Amino acid sequence: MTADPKTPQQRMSRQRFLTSPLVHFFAIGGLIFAVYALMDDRPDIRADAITLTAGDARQMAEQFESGWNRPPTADEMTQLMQAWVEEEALVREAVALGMDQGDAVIRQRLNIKMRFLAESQAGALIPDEETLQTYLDQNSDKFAIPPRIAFRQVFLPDEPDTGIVAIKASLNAGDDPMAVGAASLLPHDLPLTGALNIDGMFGSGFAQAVQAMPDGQWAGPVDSSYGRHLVMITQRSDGGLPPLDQIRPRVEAEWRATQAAQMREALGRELLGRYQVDLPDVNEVLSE
Amino acid sequence: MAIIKTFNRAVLLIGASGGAAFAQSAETPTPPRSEYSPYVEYDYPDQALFGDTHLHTAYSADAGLVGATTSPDDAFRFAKGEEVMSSSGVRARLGRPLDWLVVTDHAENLGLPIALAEDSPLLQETEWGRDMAQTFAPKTFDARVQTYMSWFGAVNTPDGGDPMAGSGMNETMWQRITELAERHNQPDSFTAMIGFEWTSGPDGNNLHRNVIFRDGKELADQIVPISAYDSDDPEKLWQWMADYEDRTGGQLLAISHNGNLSNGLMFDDVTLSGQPLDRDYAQRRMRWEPLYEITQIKGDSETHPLLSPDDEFANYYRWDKGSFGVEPKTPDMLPREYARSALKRGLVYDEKLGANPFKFGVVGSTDAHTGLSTADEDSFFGKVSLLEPTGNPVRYTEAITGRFTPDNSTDDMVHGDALASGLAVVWARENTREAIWDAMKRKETYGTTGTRMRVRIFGGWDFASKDIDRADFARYGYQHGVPMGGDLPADTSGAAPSFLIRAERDPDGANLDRIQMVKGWTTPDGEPQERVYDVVWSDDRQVGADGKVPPLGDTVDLAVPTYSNSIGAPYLASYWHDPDFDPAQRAFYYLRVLEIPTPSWLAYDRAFFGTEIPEGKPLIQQERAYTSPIWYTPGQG
Repeated sequence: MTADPKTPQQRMSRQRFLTSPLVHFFAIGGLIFAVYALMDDRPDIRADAITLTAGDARQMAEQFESGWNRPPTADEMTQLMQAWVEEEALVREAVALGMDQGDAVIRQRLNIKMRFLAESQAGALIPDEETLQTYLDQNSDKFAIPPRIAFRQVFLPDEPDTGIVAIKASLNAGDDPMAVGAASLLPHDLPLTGALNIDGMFGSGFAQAVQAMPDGQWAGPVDSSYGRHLVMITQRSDGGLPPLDQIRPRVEAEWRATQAAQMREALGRELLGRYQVDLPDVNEVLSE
Repeated sequence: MAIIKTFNRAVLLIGASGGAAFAQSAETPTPPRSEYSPYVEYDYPDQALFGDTHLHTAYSADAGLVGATTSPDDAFRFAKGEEVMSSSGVRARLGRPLDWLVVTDHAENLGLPIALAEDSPLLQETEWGRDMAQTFAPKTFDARVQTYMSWFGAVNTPDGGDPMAGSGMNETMWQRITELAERHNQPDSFTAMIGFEWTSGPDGNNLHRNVIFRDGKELADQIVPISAYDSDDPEKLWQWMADYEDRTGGQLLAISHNGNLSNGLMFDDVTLSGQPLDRDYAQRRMRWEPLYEITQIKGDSETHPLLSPDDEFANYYRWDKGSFGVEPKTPDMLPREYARSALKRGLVYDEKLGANPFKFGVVGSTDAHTGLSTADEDSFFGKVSLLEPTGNPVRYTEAITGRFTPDNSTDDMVHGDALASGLAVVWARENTREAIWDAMKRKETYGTTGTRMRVRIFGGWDFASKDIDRADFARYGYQHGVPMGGDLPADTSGAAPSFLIRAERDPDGANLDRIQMVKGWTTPDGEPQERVYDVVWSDDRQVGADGKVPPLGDTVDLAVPTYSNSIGAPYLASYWHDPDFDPAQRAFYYLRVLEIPTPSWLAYDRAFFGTEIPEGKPLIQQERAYTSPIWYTPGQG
């Protein structure tokens, strides 16, 4: 560390933060803090000194400019700096008097800031290919495409089996499947579709029955909720994990959501681990 | 070809009207093919995809502040068929997944309950936000209700403006929602669409619209949703939608709902700013909101017994006692509230203005505020989380509307009046955002009260009765006519238009009772007219002296409860041509398909919880589907 913290409170919190195992877990976040500390050009200060660096003052001027579309005048700059000094003094005195203790709003904001720290780091992480590939492999159930089949179907009329055999033979001889069969509103030709969607259209169990049929020829009959069908499987896809480059945005979004959740949890665990937690007995509280 | 015939399911094709007889085992001429493979030209919509365009989660202030804990993530997982825990702690799972879902949380302080639950620093950005955070802080039930009331006050303050404006909360929450839609969108198996609800309700009268994106997160994140804080006026919404399209190159459409709770404002004869409707208004309205949600939990909006006195099925889950405001309902408001009368009045406007302001197609949806899209009678999770399945009679007695009218007891609509409805169905080629949105845009949609029956209609000038049996029904229908939502092409022959009609029951549901054709038209002196024709029905019933097909009776056993498909038909089809056609009259035609009677959600509740259902609430009902109309305009296509 090249710079001493401004106040004893800050010294404590920063040291604690930098030596915390949490920082090692949040490798990138920790790195940001370390770099920030290395780049800190603030002069040594005493607890009773209020010092504004030229860099911070320039930032105030820029902030002013972004609101007013012009730089502050010399008078305005002086007022800005004076206001900052007063605020800094008031805050230090308030902290010294313990006024930050027991204030619900301050507690809330600190709480949020710490949680936000975890989540914002997740948002800033840029995963490499290997990380995403590993995540994809480890969460295959989340991304796997179920097995799918594409097929054509002809809805059969109420017809003795001999009639069905004849229809099947004619279809396999090349007759137009859209010119035969009974009236219905079911699709004639389904692209690659998963079992859940197929069952939604034809009724439960249909997909499994179709899957058992041979490829490339009219086969069946197969029973649906509506009646009997002849089917011809035109394509099968085993499903499984699509390659990363096809679903990269989704994988990255899910990975980041998982990181944020893990970091939130880890933060909670890590922090609690540093305290001895003493809670009254639940039943005792409730019995009063 | 010799042995291949088209086979009738003649046994199911019972009943005819309009002078059409059914073909008996007609040989179907196959048109000459230009390609060897018949599938080369197979590019028309052939899948009925079932979804919900209207669902709220805890991101909606009026859900998350009063009991809902479900996120859009839960909503999408549930719609996909996964088990989720409901907000009231009841395990919930859909019997069958949906094909697609739009989560449409209220734009007014989108995500406020989430921000409160997270103690978000964004709340500290405005005085109102700080007040809300403080009110909410104890996190007790009372604190939540207090917070809800404060929000309700803000959202109902005329010209009050967004009390969180400039805080960044809308942006933050919107982007979380679009992110979740993106994560759940799986083209070809489940489509997660982006949307929101613009909740305009001047004086508590319902002018709400759901706005549906064709686009993904990348474009949707370039805006934050317009809210009723910005404007109550639908014309401002349309301008905002136009601006979005200009800015991003994306595409939007809006779906209005609950005209039955608008006290005559939804299909009014004047604009919200009091101007008479003109051609420009009519064109803009249909440009931006091609669809109307005709059925949902808060009642059915097809028609009303006072509007359709000759329609014995008009009295279906009527919610006709006022709105969310203080003004009671009066009968003169009804024609400006219901879909059928609006469609009829639209024809009169079309004649007068040269454009029809009410030329909409229809869908059904739930409008559930539970994050759970349940339109099935046997697992209805209700309108709001506090009224999820429970043996507590509050599930039937809690007032949903009419709270603020002067006479508080008699004009309330209570949760026991709720309809476990509905579904939005699109005819599409594939299950993707683009294909579903495009179907909505061209109005090739229908709405059901929860049943997954399939319904198709094609209208044209040269259909013949034998065409109804064609195995290539859809291909032929598109080649020679227009589907639901379309306009009949120009015709100069003076002959009546003809229609090919099919309906197939829910594969896991009840048989069909009948298909009806609802026709609306205008007389030369501009009087809108309507008539309901029984087109085809089950069980060989004879038309009665009153010209109507008699009721089917029912097979419901309320003790279980259950029903049997021993009555009704799994499939009904008909060729129909208009027996009363006048080529000089504007007209529309849509289908209403009725299932056989089945137990209502109240009957399932009674059997499961042993609760007593309040007097007068239906235990048996007939689920139904309504299609988008096909329009006829003299001299035009």
